[in-house]
Amino acid sequence: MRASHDGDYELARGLSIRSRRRLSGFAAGEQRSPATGGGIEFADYREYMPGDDVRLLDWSVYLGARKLLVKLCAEEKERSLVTIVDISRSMDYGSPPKLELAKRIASVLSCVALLGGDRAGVAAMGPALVEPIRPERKKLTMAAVARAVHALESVPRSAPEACLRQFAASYGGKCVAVLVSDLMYPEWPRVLDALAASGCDAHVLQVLAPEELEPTERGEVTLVDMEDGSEAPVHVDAELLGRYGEALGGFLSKVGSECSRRGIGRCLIRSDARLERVFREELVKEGLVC
Amino acid sequence: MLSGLGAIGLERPGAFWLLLAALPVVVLYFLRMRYRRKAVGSTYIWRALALPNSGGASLRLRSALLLALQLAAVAAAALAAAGPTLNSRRRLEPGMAFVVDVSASMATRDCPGARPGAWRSRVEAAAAAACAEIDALGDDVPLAAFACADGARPLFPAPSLDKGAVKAALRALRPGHGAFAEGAAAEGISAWLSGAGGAWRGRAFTDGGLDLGGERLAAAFGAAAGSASGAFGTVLVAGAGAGSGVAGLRLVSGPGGPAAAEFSLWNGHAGPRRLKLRISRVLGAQDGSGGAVLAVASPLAAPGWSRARVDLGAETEGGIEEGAYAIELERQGDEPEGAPGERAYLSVSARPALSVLLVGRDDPFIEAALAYGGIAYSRAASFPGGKDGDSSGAGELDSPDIAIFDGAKPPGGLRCNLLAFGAPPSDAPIYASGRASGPISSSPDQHPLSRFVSWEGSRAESALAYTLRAQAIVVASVAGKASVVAWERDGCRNLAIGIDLARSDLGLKSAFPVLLQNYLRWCAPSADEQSAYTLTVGEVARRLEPPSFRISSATVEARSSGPAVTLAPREPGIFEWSSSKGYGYLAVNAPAGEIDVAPRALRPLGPKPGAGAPVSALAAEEQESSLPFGAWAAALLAALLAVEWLAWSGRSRRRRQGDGRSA
Repeated sequence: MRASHDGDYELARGLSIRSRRRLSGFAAGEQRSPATGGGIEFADYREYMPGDDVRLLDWSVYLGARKLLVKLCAEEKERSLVTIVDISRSMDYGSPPKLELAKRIASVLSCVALLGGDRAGVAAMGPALVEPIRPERKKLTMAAVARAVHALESVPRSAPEACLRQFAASYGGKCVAVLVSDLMYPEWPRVLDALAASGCDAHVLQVLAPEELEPTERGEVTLVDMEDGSEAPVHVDAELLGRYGEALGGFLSKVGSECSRRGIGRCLIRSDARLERVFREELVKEGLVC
Repeated sequence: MLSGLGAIGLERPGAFWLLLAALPVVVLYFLRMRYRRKAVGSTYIWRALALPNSGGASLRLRSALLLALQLAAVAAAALAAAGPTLNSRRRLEPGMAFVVDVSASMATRDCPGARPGAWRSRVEAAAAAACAEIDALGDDVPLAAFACADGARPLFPAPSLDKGAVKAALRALRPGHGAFAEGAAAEGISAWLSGAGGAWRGRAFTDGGLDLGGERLAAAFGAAAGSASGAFGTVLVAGAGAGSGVAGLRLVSGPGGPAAAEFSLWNGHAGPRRLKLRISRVLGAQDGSGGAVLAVASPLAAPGWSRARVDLGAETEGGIEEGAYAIELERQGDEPEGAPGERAYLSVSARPALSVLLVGRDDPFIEAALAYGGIAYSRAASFPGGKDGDSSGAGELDSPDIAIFDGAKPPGGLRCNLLAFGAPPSDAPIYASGRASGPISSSPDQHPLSRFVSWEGSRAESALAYTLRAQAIVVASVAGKASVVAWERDGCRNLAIGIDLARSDLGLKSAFPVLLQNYLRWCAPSADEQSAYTLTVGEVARRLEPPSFRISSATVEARSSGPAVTLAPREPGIFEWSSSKGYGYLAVNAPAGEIDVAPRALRPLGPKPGAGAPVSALAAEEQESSLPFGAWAAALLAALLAVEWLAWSGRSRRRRQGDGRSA
């Protein structure tokens, strides 16, 4: 953990993760889960089927309606937060780099979860999904989270859609999933599809560098994609920058609408934004933390 | 007529060093084409914008186009600075000009016609000969035709390749009434040829009336062709010319008896011949007939010109009456028609004396100089009808022909001829600027006033010296300063003499009366009663007549200017005139030289037709011309720069709009 970011963990105090839906979780805990059976809070009835525990029969209903109904109670489980960090090479761009902010966000979110008694996990979205910290681990310290997160390095190539499908297979409906990425790749709609299909309480924190939001280049420039090395020779002038702004605005607007349509929370963050503002204002407003 | 290839020349070839400027342009182009490489997180958004630009290939193509435009601009600048010229070499086929004599003698019908026994005029024969020559010419030979008499009248304003039109114009030619003035004709032809340009050959068709022997015409074509040899030839178009004519009618008073008519007879026959003629007095009859016949005679005329005299009838015993007279010659059967000498006219007009008004002091020298017949002078203390500077009060009838001011300043605005001793009028182009003493010397300027005037031995004391502020003629000077000056204004002829007759010996010298007579003749040309209004076709005569002068025929040009009228008759005949001073007759005769219709041998100036080298052997000429087009190169430079700037700054605005739609 770098000294300059020591205050990040102070930021985590007093915040807690909010989930917008009941999650199945990994172990019994304090949070209601969509699973029924082991809990004490009545949830529903269903007809008896051979094999059911006869102790769960509601005999009062049987006496009144002559029907064998099994009483279902909501199962209370621990809440899990998994932060998926995009570690593609494009996240190294910007001043400060987008990956830097993404890792800090992942650290603080994990700390918020741990301080709130929830489980926390961090996954890295590279060529394949890498999970330096899995939420099953019980005794996890914030220092360990910090070390694991900041050990993440960018990778030349990534497969975000495959990673998200892998995540959905592992964590389907069990956690609060926070994807930290710039989404600056053509397959971003399918990534959102995979995230939504995971059944998790999903959020997207879209991190863009100031240079991407407000380019300052002028003249004849060959733009080289850091990720795939492709080139785009352009003559950058005010007119082209205007059109870039329009295209970027359209892109961001479309990302927002697509997230909203899939029930995914979405928050746009500049990489040079102060982390306190991000958590105190942006993520609170988004409903990820409270 | 024109052919040849063009070639480009350079006035300043060294300016092509400017092409070295292309090197920095190319270097800068390649330097600029090195696009800066800039790593970005993702080109996902950029590609959406850049792709419609077709990436680097399109950009490079466009840059290459801009480079080409810049290099072309450098080349255009170097070309413009080098002063390029488009040199062309043209092959000029020499043109052919036909000069047809249309003088009065060319009306003589003594040339054999198409049928036996039929005759045609010399002009018709000339046109036929010219048409035959046109047929023998190539279709690419430029043609010109002139009808020449007292001048050259071009039948076409520019060279023509239409042989049919030229032949039609030649066949339509009709003879005139004047003489052939070769000098004036050559001058007109020279002017036309210089305007047309190129080399020209000429062929004159005449009956021999070239008064200068054809040399002036040959010189005109020699100048056009660059060499007189073979450029001009003459064709004699005439029959035997065995006709007769009459000219120079005069009436002389007999001593106490009837008057007699004297005239000249032309006999074109080989031997003496008796010519029948009739002399009559006509009163306004335009054709000379219908009047009283005074005499009918048949004098014997020797071959060639001879003089004859015929006594007139009793009607002339009382003297020669004013009026118009005609003498008519009866054409005999073996003589050609159309000859211009069949009639001669005479006008006898009472010629009023020249009215001279002396204003100012008495001067015996002036009165002595005016003591001649035909001059009626009067004296007045001041000019009638006006104060100094205003002569508008003098009416046409009251105005003298000549006003002489001595010791009095002439008023401005005089409408008569003026002789001023001393100060000139205020509106004169001269003014007195001082005085001079010394011998009187003549001016080198030639002027009718200086004719036979000898200033030798004459001396003047304190003579007025004039300064010229407009055009005037210095006739004589005293000590090198102009003291006798003449000028014309509004038809009035004026003379200012700054020499005081009382303070010089001029009055005692012969120069003074000769000068005064010259002045009188300059203002009113000498003419007796029978020649004052008897003129010849083509003659220009000045007569002192008021502006109210009118003449009955449109064939006589009469131009009034101040106190004089200028008469220029174009046809023979008798015409009535009238003015506020009276009326009379104008008799116009054919030129005497045209009455002698005998063909005159022409000196050989060029190859004879049908013998030796034809006139058309004149070689074609190669002419080089140079047309500078540096301005066009400069315009091209400006256009290239403009296109380059538009291609760059506009930067394919349409493409951008297309990009916007694509995005």
